[in-house]
Amino acid sequence: MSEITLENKMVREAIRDWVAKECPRDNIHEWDAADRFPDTLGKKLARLGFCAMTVSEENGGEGRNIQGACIVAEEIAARFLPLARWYTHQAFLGGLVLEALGSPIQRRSLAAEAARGRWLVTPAGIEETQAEMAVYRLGDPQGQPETFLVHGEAAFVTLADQAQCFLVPARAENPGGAVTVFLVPADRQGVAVAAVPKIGCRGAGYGRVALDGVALGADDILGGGEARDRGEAAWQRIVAVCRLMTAAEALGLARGVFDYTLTYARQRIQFGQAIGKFAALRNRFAEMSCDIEAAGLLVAQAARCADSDLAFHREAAAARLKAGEAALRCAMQGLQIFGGYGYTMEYDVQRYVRDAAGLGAAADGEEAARDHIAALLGL
Amino acid sequence: MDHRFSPQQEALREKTRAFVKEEIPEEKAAAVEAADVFPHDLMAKLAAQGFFALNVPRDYGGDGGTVVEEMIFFEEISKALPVLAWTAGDVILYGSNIIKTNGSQAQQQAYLPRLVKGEMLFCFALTEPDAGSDAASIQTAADPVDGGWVINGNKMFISGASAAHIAVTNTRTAPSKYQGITAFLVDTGSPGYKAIPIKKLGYKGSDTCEVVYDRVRVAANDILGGPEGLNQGWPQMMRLLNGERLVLSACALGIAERIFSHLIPFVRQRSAAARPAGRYQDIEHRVVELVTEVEAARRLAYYAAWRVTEGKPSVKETSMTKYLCAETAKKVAVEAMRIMGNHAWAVQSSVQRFFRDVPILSVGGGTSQIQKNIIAKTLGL
Repeated sequence: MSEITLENKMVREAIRDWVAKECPRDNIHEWDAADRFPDTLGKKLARLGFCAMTVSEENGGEGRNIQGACIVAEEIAARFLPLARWYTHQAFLGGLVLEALGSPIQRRSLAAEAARGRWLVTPAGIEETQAEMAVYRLGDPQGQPETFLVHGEAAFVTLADQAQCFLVPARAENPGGAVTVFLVPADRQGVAVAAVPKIGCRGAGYGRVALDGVALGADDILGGGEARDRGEAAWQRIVAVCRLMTAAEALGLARGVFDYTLTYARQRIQFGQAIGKFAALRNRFAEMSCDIEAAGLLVAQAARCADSDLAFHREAAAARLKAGEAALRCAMQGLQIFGGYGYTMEYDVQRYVRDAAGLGAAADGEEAARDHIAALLGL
Repeated sequence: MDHRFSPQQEALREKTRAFVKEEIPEEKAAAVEAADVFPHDLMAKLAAQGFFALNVPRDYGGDGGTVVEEMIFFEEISKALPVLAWTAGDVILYGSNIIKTNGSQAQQQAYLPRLVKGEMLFCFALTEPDAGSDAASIQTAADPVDGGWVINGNKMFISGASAAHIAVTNTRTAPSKYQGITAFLVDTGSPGYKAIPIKKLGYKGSDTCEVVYDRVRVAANDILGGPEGLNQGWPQMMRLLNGERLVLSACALGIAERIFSHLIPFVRQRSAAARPAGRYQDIEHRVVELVTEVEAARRLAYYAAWRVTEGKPSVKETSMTKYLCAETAKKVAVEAMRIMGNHAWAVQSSVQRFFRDVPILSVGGGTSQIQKNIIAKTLGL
């Protein structure tokens, strides 16, 4: 059930080698401090075809392999979460979502661009309650072609400063109006982005995105004009994709901090032996490794459903919950095991802690995931 | 059993709260953190208002307070700016407490009145790069030379080490692991003393340093306790541990309390807006659990302090307190990050600052694992 294909084993080895070569820890220290990583990293990932793994060949990708893409996200996040986040927003939200939900034109053009690493998409509005969701109204009713004016604000939008496009769910302005998902180009008039500095995942910046009467056409609706006012299910699908990619990132972070801490615990000698040999720590490592393995199985299960065109909403929510918990727990355990050294900026464990602390805060939050699972239980 | 606070202790709490309200608004705390510089200005204000007298004997110009007064002060300061509690510790704990507990009469006369006035800062140099939890394995050596001593070695994670005037430096003076340690009062202006600041996750401004001792000369009278203090460093330290554990616990309680002041209104607001109503019940329950655990930890902490002031055996209670308070405060911080999500992760939130501060409290002053080892021994395990 949990078998990994030979192809994906090779994917893991390839991306692991790439990360080791392109993301040395000393460089990451600098990128973390500067709150920015070089653009060339994404370009290199795309050139190697990693961004094309979520798009079929007919739409310019290399054939859909969601499990493989999750492995890529996991391996990058094990070393440097912000780059993993850039990758998932490109491959999953740009590629996977556009191909699954886009109109034929959007699939051929936008998904293909994402597969080349040139179409960074981020959701804006996902964390808000329905009451706060953006609204749209028709522009000049006599105008041709039909225009929509979108108003709204999203507080914590990941990669807002780098995205080419925001995925914005908006309700028709009338009471109880239906949802339409718009593709809002970041450079469209009326779009304003203000940076929101945060303590973790530095390099994948947050922004407050304000939409002030942004004029959009039918071509800017995800799925095209026919999808107008039919965006509820599409939005739920996008949320599921967000959960899956967050789960893969969290799994990677958990494994990254685990490996990093394990190495230290084998080397650090106190009271005449490696601290990892003390029973109190040995058992913590055993527990952490179980947490990581369990989360890995959930991520693989959700990815397999996605690869098989099955609904993966519940699976993604479960993976996201358990991987997020594993990441935070492993990071906090790592910090404690490192002792005073873990508290210094010289060691990476503090960065893992800062990054993990925001995983619960990711747009597709823990509470919403629990809520989703409970609802599916009929509660 | 009577460990109610006295009117004087209640007054000290009110006075400390007033200081915090007046001198440490949120913007000031954020500014100290951003600058990552020892808060000399706030330290001077603490001195001017007489806070550094709180645990010094009356004979030396102090207020004669106990560990309870120390805890009250540290708890209230930590609610606003935990690092100021630590820097105040460079006077109250590592200065006054060490000198009044272990200093010779001459050292008490020389230092305590100046500590009360805030004229001196001390730091406590024990930990070394390879001697953390196994503190008695220190290797920094003091060798007798020409009637004095020469110190060579490295210390690690020494808070206040570049700002301090005196570094209480634990050295190896004999092979015996526990009976071969001597503490020296080292003038930080001595040639060969070099403090190198360390960048940290939290408690920014604490001036935590790596310290290099390169042939630092000290006199025989600079041994803590005078020449009779030779090889007495370990037992001297043991006399301080109950107090240190309790004071660090008070810091943890203060931090937890302050996080609640952000978390509870956040949950209240979300809960009120939740549709359907009651959707936040589980989160409300999680907050209730945390508040309950902190209340229990606080009761244990002041009970343990009462035992100390009554002269009762207290090692088990103070270790339990240190373990419970540090871990509970950490849990509060982690849960607040999870519940408040992006609102806590943003730099502008105070919660992220407390989240970054709190983890060191389960490490410094004896890790939670070391506290459990101590408690296990008291249980005969």
